[in-house]
This record gives sequence, C-alpha cells and structure tokens, in this order.
Amino acid sequence: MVFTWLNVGILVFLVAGLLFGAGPLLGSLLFAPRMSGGDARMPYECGMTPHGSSWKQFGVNYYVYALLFLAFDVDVLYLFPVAAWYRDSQGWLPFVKIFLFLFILAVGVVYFWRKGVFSWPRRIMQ
Amino acid sequence: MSVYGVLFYALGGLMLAATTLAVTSRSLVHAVVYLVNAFFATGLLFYLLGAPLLAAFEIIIYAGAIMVLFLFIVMLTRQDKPLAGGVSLMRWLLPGLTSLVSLAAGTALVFSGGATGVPLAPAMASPRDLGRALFSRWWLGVEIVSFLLLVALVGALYLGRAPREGAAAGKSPGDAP
Amino acid sequence: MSLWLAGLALLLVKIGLVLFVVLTGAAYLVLAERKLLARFQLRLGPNRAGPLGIWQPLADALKLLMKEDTVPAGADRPLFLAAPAMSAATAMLIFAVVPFGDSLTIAGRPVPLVVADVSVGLLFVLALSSIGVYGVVLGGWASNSSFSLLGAIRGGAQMISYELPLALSLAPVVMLAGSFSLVDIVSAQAGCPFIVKQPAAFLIFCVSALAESKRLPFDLPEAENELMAGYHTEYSGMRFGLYFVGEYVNMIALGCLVAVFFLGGWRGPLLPPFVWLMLKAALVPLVLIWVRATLPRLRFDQLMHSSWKVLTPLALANILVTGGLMAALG
Repeated sequence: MVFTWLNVGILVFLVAGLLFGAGPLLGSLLFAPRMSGGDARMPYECGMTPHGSSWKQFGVNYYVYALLFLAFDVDVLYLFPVAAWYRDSQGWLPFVKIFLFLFILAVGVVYFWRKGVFSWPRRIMQ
Repeated sequence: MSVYGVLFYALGGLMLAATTLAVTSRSLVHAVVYLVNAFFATGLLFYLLGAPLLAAFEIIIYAGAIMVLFLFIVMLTRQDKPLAGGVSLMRWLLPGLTSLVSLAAGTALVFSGGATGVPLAPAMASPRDLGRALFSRWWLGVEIVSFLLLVALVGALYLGRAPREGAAAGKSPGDAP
Repeated sequence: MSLWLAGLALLLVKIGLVLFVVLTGAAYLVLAERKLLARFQLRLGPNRAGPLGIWQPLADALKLLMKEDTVPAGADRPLFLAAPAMSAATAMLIFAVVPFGDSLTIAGRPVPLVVADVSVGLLFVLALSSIGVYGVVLGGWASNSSFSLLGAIRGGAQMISYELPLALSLAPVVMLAGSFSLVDIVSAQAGCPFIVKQPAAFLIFCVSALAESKRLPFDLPEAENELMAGYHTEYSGMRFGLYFVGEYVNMIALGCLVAVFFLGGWRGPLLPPFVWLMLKAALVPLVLIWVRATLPRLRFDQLMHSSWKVLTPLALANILVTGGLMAALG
C-alpha cells in the first residue's frame, strides 16, 4: 500500500487544526453575551455613518502582483524537484540547465522592473 | 470498505459538492472559496493516491496562486448585482452539452471493459526521481515552459496596461490607494 | 488491530502534546511581548494578574471569551464567521511536520517525534503559507468596511509578494539536503548547521518570514494609525482572539522553521533535543518583538521594492552560486 497508515497522521492533524479553529468559537457561542442594539453593528468608519457599501471597484493594479506571483510560483515549483536531485547530479551540465532556467526567470523580473510595475503609483510604460 | 475507501469517497463527494456549489453560487467570492475547497480536496486525494509532490503542487498552485489571482480580480472589479431571474436557457445550452458529452465519454470509458476494472499497481514517485526526469530527459520542455510563462506575463501586462497619457486625462481609478 | 489502536492512541497523544505546547507558548509569547515592549518603552507592563503578571494570558482569554461577538451589518456572514478560524488553523497546521527530536524507542518500536514525517514537508509548509492568505483576504473583504478591505488587499499583495523569496531562499537548503522532508533536513545538518553554508538564504528567509507574519515593520495590512486594525477592524470577541492567537502561533512556527532549516533543528550538546528546539525557536519571536520596538513601518512601495527588486534577485543569485559551488566542489 502506498498510503501507509502513518500518513493518517497528517489527516488527523488537519482535523485537529480545524477543531483548534472551531473550539474557541464554540466557547464564545456559549459564554459571550448577545445584546446587539443601536449602532453596534455599523461598520467602523471613524464614527461616521458609512457611505454605501465598500464593495466597489478600486486599485486594480494590485492584481499584477497576483499575476506575477502565479507565473513565478509555477517556475519555482519546477525548480524544487530539481533542487532535491541536484546533489546526486554529475558535472556541469545540470548547472547550465538550471542557469538557463533561472536566467529566463530573471529576465522576467528585469522586464517588469524596467516597465515600472514595481514603482508606485504604478504606471506601466507602453 | 477500508479506511482508504471511506476517505477516497468522502473526498470525492466533497469535491463534487464544492464544484457544484461553485457553479451555482450567486456570489463570485463564494464561488472562489468553494473552488479553493475543491482544489484542497483534490490535493488530499492525490496524497491519498501516493503522489505527495503532486498534492503539494495542486495546493500551492491551484488553491494558492490561481485562486488568489481570481479572488483579487473578483474583489477589485465592480460587483454587479446578481441576475434577478437566473440565467437564460440559451446560456446553459453550451456548457450543458459539453458536460453531457464528457459525462457520456467518461461513462463509456469506465464500462468499456478492458483494463479499467483492474486497479493500477501503486507506484511512489519520489521528488528526486521527478527532478531527474525533468532536467535530464525533458529539460528542453521545461525551458520552453519557463519561456512560455514569460511570454504570457508580458502579454498580460500589455493587456492590463494603463491608458496612454492624454488619452485618459487625469488619474485612472488604478491610482487611488 | 491492537497495534492499530496503539498507533492511533500514540498519534492522538502526540497531537495533543503539540497543541498544548504551542498554545501555551503562544499565550506566554503574548505576555513576553507585552512585558518586553513595556521595558523598551520604560513602562512596567502587565503585573496585576498574579506575580509578574503570569496569569495575564488566562485573564485575556477569559475576557475575549466573555465579549460580544458582533457581525457588522451588511457583512458577508458565512465568510466573516469562518475567516479567523482559517487563519488560526493554517498557522497551527505547520507543526504537523516539525520534528521535535530524534526518534524514541518505546517497547522495541521506533517512535518518531514528529506528527507526520511527510516526504514533501517543506512544500507542505509553503502550501500552508499560500493558503494562509485567505484568512486575511476573506476576513477583510467579508467585513464590508473600507478599512478592512484596504487591509485585506494590502495583506494579500504583501503575502504573495514575499512568498516567492521565501520559497526561493529554501531551494539551496533543499539542494544541500537532497530532500523535502524536515526530518532529513535536520539530519543533513549533523555536521554543521546550514546557517554557516547559507548565510544569504538565512537572511532572505528571515526577512520574508517577517513580512509573511505581517508584523512591524511590515504591518501595512494592520497599520493602526491609518487603517485602525486593517483586515480585522470589525472583529470582536473570540473571533478577534483567533486572529490574535494565529499571529502568535505563526511566530512560533516561523521560529521552529528557522531552527529546522538553518540552525540544525533539535541538535545540540548536553540539553535534551526538545529543549534545544524550543530555545532556537524562541530566538525568532524575541527578535521580532525587538524589531517591533525599534523600526518604523515601511511605505507600500518600499515594501514591494524590497521583495521584487532586492530579495527575489538575491535569492535567484544565491541558488546559482550554490549550484556553481556544488558543481565545482563535486
């Protein structure tokens, strides 16, 4: 069996983690007072009545970071299995391959740098 | 049924339920959260099947990176009111047809006899073996993937660029905070 | 069957012990932080509850439990209720793969002092830190308050920006150890801890981990002076407590990870392994508290600069240098 029962440890710990999150909330449900009234449930806005919902469009430029992160993350995950194997490799050929791989990654960072993605306020040059 | 089987079907059921809820949910943010749950369950399923590396990648890339990107886009763009009368029948037609065809194909595959009834011999791929395979046999492909990602990023940046100076005078909404 | 039950019982005991140790540690870390900060600012700190204030964490927990747990009007109720638990649980789950010592021998069978020695332990840690983003982003978004939303989006952007150097700085560690398992990484440091071989990776990891923990000088998602409390502005009672506990559990987890990846884990002379791990793991929270008392907050552009323009290129260069040296030395 590939899945030995020792692996159950991680699943049980997942459950334990969930209980750790839920337990205090249960205690709060039992002990905390409930006397909401007046403006207690108004979102905090320095004492003023909030003007409309806060769910509206703004600051779309943050999404670029998420996009960059996604692409680099995929790259990094190609790198990781190789890193585990690298110690057993022979000669300079693996190094050259990894160099090429990282070079493409670095070109990406430099390109975004030059385009001003990391400057604030962001204005991407054409 | 063994513990293994119970876990397998529980996770499978969780995935099905989560994806169904994601498709039918009216709130986009809720749909994203359901999808994160589905990906998490998929990761656990991979772990159960003896592919821990794949499980970690599934959670890091799909549940972590891609869904954060979706969440950002959903949060940062305007939230339209959900459609009052539901979606029209025509918009269900194409997705419905596609899923019916794939369901039929899957069912046919499972019941076509042959090797599908035989459980596969369990195999354990260590991260090290995968690394060796990636960078000795398939290294050109890996470099191409890396390059492809770079090109995709450049393209995404071009599509998401700020309007040309003068074309949109004043500040774009993107400059606010 | 009896073996199964014994194994399960052992597992539950281990998990219980880990939860107990970590929770107690987190509770007293809060007290330590309040005491130390007070001393840095020439105050006394909490000293009413028991001698030297040692019952303060208990009093805090009781107080939070007895406070009303409000949900703001117009909030996304299910997400608002679930987000703090997500934040606390992901911080706690890291301890599933941290080795607390060498394996013991009980009744002729080796018992590893780790809840689960996963072959991809390091990736499990990275996966948890990428899931941890949701607790912040969803909690802030679901509050439907402007301050919370700003904090949530800042928090999300910050956490994903620093996850990259965090992951990249660990690649040389994997190259040296040849494995993702935290147990193997610790045994690879039997000769000399990786901080000697990888000082650059150590620094990059520490800075990125500090940013991941969203504490000063990287606390833009909370930023009291401009965003009230950022993503948890609207939280009260035990739900706020969960965010709070999550932050401190996360600090201890980071301490343990630094100890495991760079300081040789539980290895050390004279003292028992568990004590060594705790001593090493305590270093990071103490430095974090010191840094909090010393440094002012960064600006958002400086934050992004240091991740994308400094740490990420540095981490890439570090991988290349390590690879080159390893290839040259055979």
